Amino acid sequence: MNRSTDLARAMVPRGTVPFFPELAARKRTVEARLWDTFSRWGYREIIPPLFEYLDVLSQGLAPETVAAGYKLEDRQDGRLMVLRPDVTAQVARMAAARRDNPATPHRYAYQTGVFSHTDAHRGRPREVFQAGVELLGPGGYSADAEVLALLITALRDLGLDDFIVSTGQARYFKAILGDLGLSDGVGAELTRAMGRKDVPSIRAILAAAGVDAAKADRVARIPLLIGGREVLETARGLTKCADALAALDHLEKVAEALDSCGLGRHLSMDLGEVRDMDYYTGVVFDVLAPGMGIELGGGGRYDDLLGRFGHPMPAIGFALDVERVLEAIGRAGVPLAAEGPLFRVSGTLPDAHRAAAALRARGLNAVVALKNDTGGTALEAQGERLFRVSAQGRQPVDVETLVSEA
Amino acid sequence: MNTQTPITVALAKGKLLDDTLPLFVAAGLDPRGLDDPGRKLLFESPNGDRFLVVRAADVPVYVEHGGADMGVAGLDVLAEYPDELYQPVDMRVGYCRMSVAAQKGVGLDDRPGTRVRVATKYPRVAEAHFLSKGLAVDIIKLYGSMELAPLVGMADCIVDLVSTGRTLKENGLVEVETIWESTARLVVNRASMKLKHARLAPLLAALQRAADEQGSRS
Repeated sequence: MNRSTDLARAMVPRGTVPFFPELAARKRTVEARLWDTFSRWGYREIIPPLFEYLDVLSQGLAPETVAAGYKLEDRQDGRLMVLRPDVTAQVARMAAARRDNPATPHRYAYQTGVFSHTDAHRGRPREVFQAGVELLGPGGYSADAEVLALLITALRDLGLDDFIVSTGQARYFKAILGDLGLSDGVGAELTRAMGRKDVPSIRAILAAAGVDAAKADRVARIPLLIGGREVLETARGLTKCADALAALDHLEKVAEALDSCGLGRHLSMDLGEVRDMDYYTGVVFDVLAPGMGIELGGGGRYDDLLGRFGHPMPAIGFALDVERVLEAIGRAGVPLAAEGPLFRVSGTLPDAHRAAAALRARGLNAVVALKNDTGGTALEAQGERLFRVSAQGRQPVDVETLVSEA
Repeated sequence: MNTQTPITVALAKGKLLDDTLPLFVAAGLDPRGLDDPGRKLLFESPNGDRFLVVRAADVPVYVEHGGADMGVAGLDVLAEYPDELYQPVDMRVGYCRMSVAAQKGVGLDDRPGTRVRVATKYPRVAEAHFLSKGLAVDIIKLYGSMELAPLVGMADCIVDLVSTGRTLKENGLVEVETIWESTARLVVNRASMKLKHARLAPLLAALQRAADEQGSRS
């Protein structure tokens, strides 16, 4: 076979990755540990379908997400469907459609892939493995604090320590924007400039809109309201708008709640964070770790999303990108628990099978040796007896000894 | 992360680099060796800060992917970049304008064909500009010497960066419209902005001060 045929056969779509056992084991360990934390906090699994009707789900998606979705046609009725681009919108749709109305709060956890088209050669995956939660029902600061505390705890349970959750408050900028009384077009332009912390453009937009200089100066300081708790005080000084001040009080209560459970040191503020403003309605946050130029995950409060599916309900959630979390763990040098040892049992088939079953019954991993098998620690079964085979020869051993060594 | 955390800065060789260095020095950085980089690509200051010499169009790539915490790029580069980066400081150097130019005396309505064809190195800028005017155009991407395209009848006009306008003039083209004028921006990685905030906040303020002083002098 020539080389180009080899390459053609090996080709996978760009932006997908094959996980062989070594890497897959690391991924599963991380996912299992996240899942464990989510479960212990009372979050229960929700499984959304792999594809949805495009027109239905689009009601809860940003236009860019819709545009980047993989679409396929439903042969039954010709409607367009989209491959899961975002779990939160699906959970919102599912919760809004549910007719048996279970009592809130609903605590949901998920672990699944999301898909999107990406530009070629930008180093971005098209299948992203996510683990996340959604808390539906309560809208107060204690719900925000619960979700942030869970996020921080889940990362700490993975052995990560050096990370921050950079948190903003969508309501703060929205209130100030409303107060400025700009036209929709100019407001959208200002919000985009705010999103890229583009202070020069913010000044230019406000000047062109005839906003007075002192007020414009205060707005131009918002993008750099980044740092610790002191930022809240600075932010209060920039506005008299009651809604904006209430939004800051809310964020401060969230911060105090995290302090009281000893997790406050991971919390950092960025009040200029206005990403996805038509989606997020309150706290909005990103997880950042040194050496990672991109967030490990993020989330926020999206109180209007369920309403778009006909059943308004406050909600907040986050999603972690499992591959990025794995990379952060690798960079931080945190060891991940290895898989247990594997035993390879040879001997006559009945003897080997009996011995392997005994090992498995005691929680050990065992295979019956096939031709050319080389993995794991070699054992030999002979009747009821078991031997450990090494370069030094055969040593009798019993299952209990192997269990105590493992 | 404290105020001494080292940072990595991506810069492009050329006039923009020469104009930017004094501002960096004024803001307290130590980009020694960069005034005469030769073939060296990586420079390190005694305090651990690193300076990378990259192609202009690669500055946003390094910054977005975290290869650099920050960089300096012209709006021509940023406007073609598909994602929006943090760009908090106007460096007030590297002035340029993006313009539409056509052959002298030839209006777009005089074109022989049915569609407006635009030759440019900046397809995103050109497309957005004509779309905002309700004009659907065919974009022909070129990598240089765009002035030739109208002369040989390959395009009706060009969208290009203009600094003095001499090249246009020498090739019989005139600017018919300015799309925007700009100076270079400091771009900052999203994660660095927050993780290294204690170091970056005073640095950004010092850079803007230095740029404003320099800008008001020139």
